[in-house]
Amino acid sequence: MNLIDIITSLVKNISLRKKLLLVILTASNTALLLASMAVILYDRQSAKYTLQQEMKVLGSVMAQRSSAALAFNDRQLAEDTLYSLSNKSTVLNACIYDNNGELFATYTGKNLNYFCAQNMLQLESGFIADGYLDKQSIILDGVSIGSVYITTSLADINQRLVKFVGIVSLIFVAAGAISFVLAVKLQKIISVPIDELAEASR
Amino acid sequence: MAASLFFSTCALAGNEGLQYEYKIKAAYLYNFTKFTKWPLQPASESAPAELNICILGQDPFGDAMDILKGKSTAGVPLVVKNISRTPRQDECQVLFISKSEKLQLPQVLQAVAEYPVLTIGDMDGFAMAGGCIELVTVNRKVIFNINLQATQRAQLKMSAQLLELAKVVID
Repeated sequence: MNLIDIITSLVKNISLRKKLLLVILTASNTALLLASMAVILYDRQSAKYTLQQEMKVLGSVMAQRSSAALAFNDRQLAEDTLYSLSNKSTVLNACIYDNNGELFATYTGKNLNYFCAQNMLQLESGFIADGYLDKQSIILDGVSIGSVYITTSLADINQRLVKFVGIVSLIFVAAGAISFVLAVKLQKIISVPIDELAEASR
Repeated sequence: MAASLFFSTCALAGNEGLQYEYKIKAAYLYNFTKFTKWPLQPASESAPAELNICILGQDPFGDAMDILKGKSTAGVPLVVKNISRTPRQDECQVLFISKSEKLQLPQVLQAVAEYPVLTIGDMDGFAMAGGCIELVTVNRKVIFNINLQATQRAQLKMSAQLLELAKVVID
């Protein structure tokens, strides 16, 4: 006997009123659940997209501001420029590489586990294990003279997801409770006349 | 850029050291053209065909200027010229004044003060004397000072990034 057969046999033996309640609640809660999941997924994707765009802008600014320091081999100025990223707590690290792929300047956030490799890895912008990596070329007069990589954590968008799921869950529970109350009242429209008819026929 | 090859930590000692120093200075001259804007030409005149980097006096660069061969800035090809007299207006966009011209320095700077020429030199006090950029060697490293007044008089626009890099900005 499979699950469907078990459910069918349970449902067969309950009253009309309860069957109606079950049908209404199953339909409404399934729709609510699907809608909630869709909204959560959409929000997550939207947050990731916003993060990508934000990092692209930040990376472009860092690349543009670092071109002189790299051209004139001023490591200190390059690191001072990267240090301005400390204002954004989710930035894990930032690395500038010259055209030979050698490390030129670094910034490391509070988590010292995120350090820059001595030689540039052939990575492109994208989501990595627990963060997002943005790569921008440092362009001087139309020629690439190096690259800047910025790694940011997903802590903010993960936190947002948790909050969002919490809010959606509360809405789901509240909507579920309201739909239960409504279902109890509305099913009477169908079940009461049928009960009376059944009573009369006895 | 090829200039990055020159930025290593070799000792600046003796003739070899001096050659290396001028290789760095040549690279700096090239980079300065990337961070400087010359005044726009009036619509009636055609855009400059070349950006002339002139070396006035005894040429200390030797082969170092070869790195500029075939290079351009904002699509304008760079041409290196050696000259022995003060340039005429529009003859040079960058004028490197060699140490051999120390005695004539005030007259040269006076003559080109109003021209849109980026004057560069590596003699002591060059910027204070009215030159735009003074190259200074400190602890085997080449740094530079900018005389903002001189650049403004020459109607040149210096990138904020370049000003940030300068060790001293005279304004």
